[in-house]
Amino acid sequence: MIEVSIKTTRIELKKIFLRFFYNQAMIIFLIVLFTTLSIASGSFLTIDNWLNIIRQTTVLGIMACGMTVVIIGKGVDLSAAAILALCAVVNVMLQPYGYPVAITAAILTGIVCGLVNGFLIGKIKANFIIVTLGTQILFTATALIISGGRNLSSRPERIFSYVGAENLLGLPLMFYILALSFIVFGIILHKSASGRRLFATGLNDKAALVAGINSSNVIMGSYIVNGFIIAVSSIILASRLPRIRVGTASEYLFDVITVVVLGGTALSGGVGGIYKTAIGLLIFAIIRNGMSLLAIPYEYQQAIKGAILILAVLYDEFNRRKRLLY
Amino acid sequence: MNKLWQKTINFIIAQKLLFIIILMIMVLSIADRSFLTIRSILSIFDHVIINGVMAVGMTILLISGSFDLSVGGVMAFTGVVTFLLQPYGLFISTLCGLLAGTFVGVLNGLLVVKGRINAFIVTLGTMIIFRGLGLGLSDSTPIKGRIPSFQLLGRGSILGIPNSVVILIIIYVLGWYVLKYTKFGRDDYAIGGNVLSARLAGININLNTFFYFVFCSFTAALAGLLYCSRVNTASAIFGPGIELYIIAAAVLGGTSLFGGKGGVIGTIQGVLILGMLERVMVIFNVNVNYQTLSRGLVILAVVVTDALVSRRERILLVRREV
Amino acid sequence: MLMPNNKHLLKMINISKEFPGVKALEDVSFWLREREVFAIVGENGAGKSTLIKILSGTYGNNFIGEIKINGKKINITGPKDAIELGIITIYQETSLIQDITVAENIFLGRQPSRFGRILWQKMIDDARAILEKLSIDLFPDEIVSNLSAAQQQSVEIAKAFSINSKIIVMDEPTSAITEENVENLFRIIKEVVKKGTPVIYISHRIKEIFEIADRVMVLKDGKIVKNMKVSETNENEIVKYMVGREIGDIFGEESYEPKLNIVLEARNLTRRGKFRDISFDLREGEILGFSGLVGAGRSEVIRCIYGLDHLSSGELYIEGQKVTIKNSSDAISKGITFVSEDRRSESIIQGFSVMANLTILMLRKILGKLGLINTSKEKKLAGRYVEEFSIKTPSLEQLVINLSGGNQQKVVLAKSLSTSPKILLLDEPTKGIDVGAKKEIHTLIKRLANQGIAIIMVSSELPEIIGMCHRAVVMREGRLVKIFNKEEMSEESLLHVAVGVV
Repeated sequence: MIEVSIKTTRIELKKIFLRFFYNQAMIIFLIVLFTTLSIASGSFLTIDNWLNIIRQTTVLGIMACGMTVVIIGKGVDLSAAAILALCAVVNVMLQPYGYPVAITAAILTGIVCGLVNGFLIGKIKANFIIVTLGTQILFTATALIISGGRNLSSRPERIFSYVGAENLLGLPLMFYILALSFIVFGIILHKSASGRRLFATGLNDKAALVAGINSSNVIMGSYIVNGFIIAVSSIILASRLPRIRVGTASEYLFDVITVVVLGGTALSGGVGGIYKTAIGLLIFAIIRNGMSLLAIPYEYQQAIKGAILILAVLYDEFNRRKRLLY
Repeated sequence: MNKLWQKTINFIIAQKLLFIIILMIMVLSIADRSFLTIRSILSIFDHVIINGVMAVGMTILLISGSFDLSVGGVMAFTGVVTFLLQPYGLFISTLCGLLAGTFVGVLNGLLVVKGRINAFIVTLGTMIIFRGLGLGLSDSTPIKGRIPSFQLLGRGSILGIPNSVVILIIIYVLGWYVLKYTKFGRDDYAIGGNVLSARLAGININLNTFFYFVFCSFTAALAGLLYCSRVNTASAIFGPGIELYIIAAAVLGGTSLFGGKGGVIGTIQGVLILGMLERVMVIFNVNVNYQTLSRGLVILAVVVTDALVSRRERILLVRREV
Repeated sequence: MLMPNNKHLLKMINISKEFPGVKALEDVSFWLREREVFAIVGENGAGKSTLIKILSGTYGNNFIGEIKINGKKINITGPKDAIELGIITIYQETSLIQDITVAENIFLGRQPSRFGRILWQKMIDDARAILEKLSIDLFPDEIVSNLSAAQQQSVEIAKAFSINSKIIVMDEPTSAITEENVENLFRIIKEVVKKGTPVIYISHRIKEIFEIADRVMVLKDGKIVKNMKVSETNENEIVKYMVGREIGDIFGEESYEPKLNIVLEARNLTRRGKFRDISFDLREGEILGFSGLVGAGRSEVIRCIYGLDHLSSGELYIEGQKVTIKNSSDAISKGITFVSEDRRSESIIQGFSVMANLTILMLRKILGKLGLINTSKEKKLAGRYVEEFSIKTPSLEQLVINLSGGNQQKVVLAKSLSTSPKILLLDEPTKGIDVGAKKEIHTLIKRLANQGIAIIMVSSELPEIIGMCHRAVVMREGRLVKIFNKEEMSEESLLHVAVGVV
């Protein structure tokens, strides 16, 4: 009898250890990555480098918050980059009328875009992939029409160059905005009733329906929130870059999705969180930074990013199956 | 007399797409005097042929219930590989390019079937990977074609009919034949219609799906060759967003995103309609951005309609007669 | 009727199957001869579907006992094996591919072809021959989606018949077709049997058995009650064999009397295609049972009351006020709560912890300052429910799917009560739960009734209806046939009304 119980305990311990390991795999990976790059490149651990990383990933990070919300609801917003472009264009074009006007307009644009997506996907229940691909074209076209295809120059007034360039306590202001987004979204997602409803809908919308949760509204809401936060990040973008061109935005889409998936939020919905996305952002930022420090040509970077996404998904699939094996 | 009317109306409804096409031709020929000339018709065909070739492979894949977002990337990648290898000869370069493009389909197929990752992520990933590779290999600059005879593919003609049209027709006949007369093709409908029944009926779902992905990339590669030979240039950024356009054309033509129904006849009609729509906008001098806008609207309209219609049909399936 | 010869085509010997906590089948044996229609009847839960699933290969090798075909023992590892051995099962849900032709469905996966090229004409001709052989009046080149449910069913039979079939099993074949088509169905079945393929016919519509079957086996609680020739029995006898148990004491000792005031009135509730003219009253503190055969429309009625489906017509009054309920949150706000029959996909949120499942309906109560979820409040509230309902779980954070069925159901019940409802709608509340947990849940339900909650309980277990309910509605084929008082209730009388045997 004792033999059996020792064996079972050992198996139990092993199971616990393995589970712990898999859950922390990302963090371990992060540590490994960190160490490798510090050794491979002398400039990795410099303050300048890290300030640079922060500046480059703020917009991405803020957008990732919104995308996390959408993905937890079992969807994806492929028009995210287009919304970014459109909001940036609206923002810049209305700057002559004063900052408050421009910013409000940008935010409204983001919300409207989110509404369009949310309505088609949440209420009409059309395929979210094709819909957001379609709205991507729609929004991009609108941005081009409004801007006349020209490159627009953003003339950030003092307040906004402040956001773009100034530092507070040694860190750029935008870092605080990024941190704020994470905190706010973390709270909304994990600590609010709506967040709980979102998880329920993403996990099992039939049960959510029985539990009195209006899943169409919840899904619609997730896209609207995403639209809103993209608008916010577009303001940061506009204040950072002196020139806005519609084309600049398209890269972001893929990067945002990679960040979220890398962090462990599953595309199957209902699983994940802001903190995971934060880790994903960190990993992604380090990899991207590492690639440019190591002078890997841009085009190959793209290929590598695609491979990362597939690997992240494979890893997630693998994990999911492990989880179900209990 | 009434019966004849009824029959005619039924026929019109059934062939609605064909009638739309005829209608559009009439409108176009009135709006643009030079429309009915061979040259102007052929200029539509430019778009239609490339899209049409790609759409065949996509249709077959859609029927089985999957889709492929990497076709644009495949098209560009094929062109780049082909043109880079041109110093080694026409045959080798073309063959390698075709193989390279088809290889993406092999990759897609393996990841979806064996890796069991959903088609969306896989093809999104391969799209990025291979566009990136294409950019890298070409140093982000367009490559000029070096073998004049290669252009025959896209520009030459046999007995007055452009080669590209011939290829289009061949691919369509092939696609039509496969879907109608081969087990491989008919099983496609089964897999998309009710995968459980298909499995129980002994259909090898994995093998079939794998080959649908391969064929889809093959047609994309072929389209890439055609396009690059026409403009005698290969660039890694060709065909941005074309995948959506192709899917919309197929859905417009009656192939549902939910799988289980559709066909190439409908698809070519869908491609034609979308192609003519573009032409209409050009004739009326619509701003290029508004063109993009309306393209997006059409895609959305098509997809939403498919969702509404297919959903109703699927609900009716479960209904009982009490 | 037909003249079956005495050769035993199929023998199922000493078949037993257990699920955690419940013995679905115990030592069931029967044999099937050529050219006969063999009916298996029994209430829901009697073991009919388990037996069929074993035969069709759904459970693979996971059962005790032997299956022999033509005297030889067979080994089934999965559904494909069963089909290869010639055992074709036709279920209630259609398995046809909608957008292709009848002929292609009949020859699905085995189209006549040469070098990969499909021989269309041959396929159509062969299909036509099969259809004609079975006197099925359909065109082989018709697209299946254009056919009615009954027509699609005959295609399934033709398909089953044409695949090298030795045995065709039909599971509740008449549940989805109208009466006129039933005659047609029987005609086709007779043709099939005449041509040498026996049919196993599962149904709980006893009248039909007498029209179509040669022999019948009655199952009850997983065991055989009787196996006999149809000609040697009658409907009443079969009903008697189907029931007749000790009611047992798993229903708790207390009995509570309902109050007199009416909490819910339903008038002429109708949903096209599902049920018609359902009218009843529900009193405070009453447990009203909904009895009837599967498919009678009971779940559909209460789902409509809860707002999950739409009523075509009819009125609902809660405490005298007319109400319109458009969705589940409407229902919840009016004091109605619902426990679904399908625990796994509709009652519990699988990825959530026990705690999160318990609090999902009362998110407002666990909010603290700033309107955010207060974890300690949540834990306290959830903990209280766990204690009150004796939910066995290692911790509040444990994922709910790791709990046993009975405990999961307790979580579901607790959750549904968290909205302090006046009306509780239960759909098969003790399905798939072991005896011990059943007793706990029954006690719980009775306690709730005593506290004044009005309860509607849909149940397919007659003892449960008799043991728990003050009154019982019996539905049949979408109509409300009779409302029983406690004194009138007995297994036989309830079943008689449910199957339409007078």
